[in-house]
Amino acid sequence: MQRRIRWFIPPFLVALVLSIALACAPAAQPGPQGGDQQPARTGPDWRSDFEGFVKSLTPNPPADTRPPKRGGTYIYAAAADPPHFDPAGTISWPAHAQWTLGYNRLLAMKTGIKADPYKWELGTDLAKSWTVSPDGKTYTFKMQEGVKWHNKPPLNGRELTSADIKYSYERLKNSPGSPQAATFDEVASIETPDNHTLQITLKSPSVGYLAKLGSLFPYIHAKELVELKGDLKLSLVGTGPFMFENWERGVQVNWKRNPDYWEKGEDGKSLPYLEALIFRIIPDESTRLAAFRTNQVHNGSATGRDTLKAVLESLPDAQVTNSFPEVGIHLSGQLDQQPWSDVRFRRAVSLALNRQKMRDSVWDGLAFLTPSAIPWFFLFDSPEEANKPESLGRYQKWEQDLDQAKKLMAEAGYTNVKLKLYNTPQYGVTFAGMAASSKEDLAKIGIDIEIIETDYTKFYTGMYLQGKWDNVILSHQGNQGIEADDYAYGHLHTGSSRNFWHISSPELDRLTEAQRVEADPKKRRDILRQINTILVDQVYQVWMPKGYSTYTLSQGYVRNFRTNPSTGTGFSFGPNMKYVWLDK
Amino acid sequence: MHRYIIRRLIYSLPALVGVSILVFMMVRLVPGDVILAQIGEAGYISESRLQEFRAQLGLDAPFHEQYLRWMGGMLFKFDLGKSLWTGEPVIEEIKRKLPVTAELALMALVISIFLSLPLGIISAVRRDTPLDYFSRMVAISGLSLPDFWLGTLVVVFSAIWFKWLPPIGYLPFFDDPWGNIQQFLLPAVVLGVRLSAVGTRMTRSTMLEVLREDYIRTAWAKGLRERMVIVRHALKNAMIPVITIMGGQLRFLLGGTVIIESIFALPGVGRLTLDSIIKLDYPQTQANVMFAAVVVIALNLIVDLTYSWFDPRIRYE
Repeated sequence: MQRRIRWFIPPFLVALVLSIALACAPAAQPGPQGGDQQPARTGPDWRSDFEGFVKSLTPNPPADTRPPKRGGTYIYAAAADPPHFDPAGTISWPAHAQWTLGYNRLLAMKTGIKADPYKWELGTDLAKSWTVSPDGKTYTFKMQEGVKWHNKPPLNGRELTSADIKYSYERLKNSPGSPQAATFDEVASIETPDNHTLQITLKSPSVGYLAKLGSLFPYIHAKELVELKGDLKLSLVGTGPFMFENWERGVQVNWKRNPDYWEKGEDGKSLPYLEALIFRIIPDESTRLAAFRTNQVHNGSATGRDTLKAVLESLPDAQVTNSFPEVGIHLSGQLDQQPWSDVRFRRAVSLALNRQKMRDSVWDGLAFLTPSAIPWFFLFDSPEEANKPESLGRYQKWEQDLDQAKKLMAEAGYTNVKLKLYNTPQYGVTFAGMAASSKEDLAKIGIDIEIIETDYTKFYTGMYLQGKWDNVILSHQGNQGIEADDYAYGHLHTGSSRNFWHISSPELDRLTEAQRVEADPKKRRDILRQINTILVDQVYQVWMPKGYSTYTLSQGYVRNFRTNPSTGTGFSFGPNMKYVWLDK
Repeated sequence: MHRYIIRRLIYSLPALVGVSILVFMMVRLVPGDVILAQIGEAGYISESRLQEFRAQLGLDAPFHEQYLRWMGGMLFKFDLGKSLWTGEPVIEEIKRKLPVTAELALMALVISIFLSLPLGIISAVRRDTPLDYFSRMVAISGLSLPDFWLGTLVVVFSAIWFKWLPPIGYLPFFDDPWGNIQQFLLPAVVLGVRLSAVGTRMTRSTMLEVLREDYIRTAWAKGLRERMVIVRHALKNAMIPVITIMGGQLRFLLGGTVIIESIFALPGVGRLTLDSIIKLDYPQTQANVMFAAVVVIALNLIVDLTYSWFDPRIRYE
């Protein structure tokens, strides 16, 4: 028996044990952990007061002001490849992060360690200053001097001129199918009086126009490269802090430091501090978090307190940031369709929703309520002020008010209403939860909701952005721009192509036109507040709680990594990465 | 044999045409518009700009014209088309990704053979003993556990318990053999476990049948050693159904790599197919599916041809 069994010792058992032993050899690490401790953060320690710790999180903890260490490779975990690199061919979010590394814009929103994360303030980039003509139509930009294209063919490090900017804008406007053409609809002409001066004349004055030039899209690219390659889908030569090396499709995008970058760091030498940056593609969220835990990447995110605590227990030195949302989530119909056209119906829907329940069950107890379609920081000084009852209006409450809701429905004469609610699974379980919660709440006032799950592309670009849906939609507001005008005029004016809800109000038209030309910031804010007062009264969109329980993580030795709250790895990525350094 | 092979290849042509029509139609039935997906997120895009872009990508032609253009390119110029997103020939992307999937599938197959044959043999030879029950339990578990669930658990718990994860990315074998094995071993085990479950059960079943045959009883009676009886006589005759099943499982292996490649961040053809479907990249999806169809047909042919090695009585005419 023993002899018979001996040769039956499965060879696979031996092979299996050997394989596990071999495979469990330590994987390559990005580098040793540790380094000098960064300055202690303020606020409670997560070990002793976890709730207090969570509530004290901000998007911009104090910057590390010690002399930065140069060198090292930062590995950023991303969920998806960019589709390609041509700004005239896509505006996909993964592409933005790449563009901000390799390109500059004429102007840019202030980001990084020196900026207030809740203020969308326009700052300089390739332009160092600008003036406006008395009629408000002509902007004259003086450009930074000594800015060079990356030292790669065909540009070979030549100096950037105003003609390059003019070329970029004309290409973005005129390329067939360019998604950025609308950015330049207001432009009458672009002139280049000399190599370092650019003049843009608008068709009519617009105080918000400049922000479009610093927004998500108009990156400055080179004519020579377009002429050589035909398009910029697989090529990127810019003026940005990092130089594109190569793209291993599905694996990573490799960048290296631009040694000739024009902006200087704290030590007087050119930025960035990092020697290289790898944009590593990891589609699965669990794998991304696992890669962060095992120090294979420098960034991560944790959704929910439980996950955050578990990560901190295994990586006590991990840095955590969090932020209030800047734009909201809404349930809305179109104003030229019944029953959404009836203000009493809209108010009833808003009052019937139990937003406290949604906050607690869907968003892990942490959520913010946007007062209206205009981002709160254009109107209020703090998120707390934005969420006061007087800011939210009579018809937007955290708690449910069924009595008032039923009364309004009766006044409007609506009983047994059937409505389709369009949602998309790509927004995740939180939206599914809010849709289900809304269905439950609205049933109590005689509205029968049928939830229709719709593919994202059809939902967002085919329905929402085209302003073509029936019944109601549950959607992110989306980052429609970085200027108040993009939301005020953009969303609310009768003649705007972004008025997805078909709102038509003479008073709103008057006010949105007025804020476009009001140069005094205080007076402009007053106009925006008047608009907000109308919006919270008329309830054109019913605003839902939006959570802020996804925490941004960074390895303990990474210094000065920031993401701007609303854009994440969008257009602030490159500008932020200039200041990052590795303390090891 | 050569005539048999040529005949089989000719017979596969209608199947390939059918696959091409199906994939051409089905990929266009996926909800969404590839034009809007590329440029629609800017906000409102005028209809004229959408049409302009559609024409630029050749999507304004009638469906039958688009199909014939694609088929013509494939048959006469070996051109499978260009990606709607990057403009690159789609075959280049398949060439880049193929080594990853091929390596993963091959390793999974080897692991599954390593697991299934011994387990199946033990289970059959030691029928109704604890060893048999254990093997059958392992096989049922392998069939029951979804590979995406197993893969995710492997990733999550190895990071939490062992603070270890396979190196993320792709290290070609000839550049870094050690790193390559570390990257591929775990995903191959996850895939191989499922594949081996089917193989184990089939091996056990066919071995039980063969062990009851008269010639096996004769072999025992002649006093041959157990290894000789099991391996030399029984196993070879039991292999044909096993090979048939394993060959069939390879088709599922090609599909299984989609999820496993995403979980382990391996840039293979499976993930490429998933990405191209999500991005509505019609030419890429069509090319991937056609490529998979050709591979399946070739695999089936190879499996059929191996029968004659196991059973010399089988002849191909």
